[in-house]
Amino acid sequence: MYKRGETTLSDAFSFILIAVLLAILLVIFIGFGGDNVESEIGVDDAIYSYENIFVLESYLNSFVEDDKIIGDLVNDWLLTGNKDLLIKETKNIFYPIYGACYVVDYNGQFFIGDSSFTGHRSTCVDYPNFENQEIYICIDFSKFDERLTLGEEGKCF
Amino acid sequence: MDIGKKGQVYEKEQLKMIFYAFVIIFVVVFIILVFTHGVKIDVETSNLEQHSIVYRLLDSETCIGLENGILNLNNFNEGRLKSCFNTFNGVQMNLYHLNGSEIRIVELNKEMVAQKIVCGLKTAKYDCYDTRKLVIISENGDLKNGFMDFKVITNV
Repeated sequence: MYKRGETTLSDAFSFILIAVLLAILLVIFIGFGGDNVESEIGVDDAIYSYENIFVLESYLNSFVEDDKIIGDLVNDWLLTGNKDLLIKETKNIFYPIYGACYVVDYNGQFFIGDSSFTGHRSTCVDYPNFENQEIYICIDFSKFDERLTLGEEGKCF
Repeated sequence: MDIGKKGQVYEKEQLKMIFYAFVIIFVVVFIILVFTHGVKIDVETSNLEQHSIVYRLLDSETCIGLENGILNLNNFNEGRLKSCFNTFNGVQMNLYHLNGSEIRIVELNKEMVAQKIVCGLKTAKYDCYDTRKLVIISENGDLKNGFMDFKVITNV
């Protein structure tokens, strides 16, 4: 037979236990649901990124003046800090294709294009450099693709 | 235990039952929501298919022949692509010079590609994905920048 104090303690304990159980279920539900939505988007974004690795390859191997490629201009920037030609040639390549709806992010140090698109659905590559620093180059033209699908790509030009 | 105290005990038990009923309802709703959410995700995979088609085309060096971002124009024709790329979906690839002049259009599964006119309609049974990719075009030894527009049409 419980004493009065024991009964109150037992009830309080069971209520707390159930409240904790409900909280755990709620966390699992939010976590489960949230993860699923993110993983679906994550898979799409991952494949979209893989698609655009080819664009980065094309960009870095694109020929510019004096038989140089964009990769050479990136090296010039890393060695001398001069990025004027890199910016000019990058704009010459990307503007006719994506209008204003693209951004190239150079290691977060500077952007070419519209920096408001950064991180939307970026594709990045590590760029080998002379001092073994971790340098990355990211590209994002997903806004253009979204508009292209809607037939509204003209808004980018 | 007198009658008054017994009444208080029953009242307390009823309160507990209401609380437990809420717990049971919450658990049932939780299970239903989790399973409903799972089914919904299984259905929404069309974008994945469209992205994978573009990726497979770009990644296949033996088919479209893209290497280091360079597309060999001699490999970019309908006959070659039909023989090396199997898909039930519609794919249209328009290749352009950087100045916008068209070089070549290649279509896979023309019947499906013809359904592109209904893209964007809410009642359409087809889903479309468009993307534009920068490429380097290799033509008779010359390397020039260009771009390719992909349109992928899949069944919903």
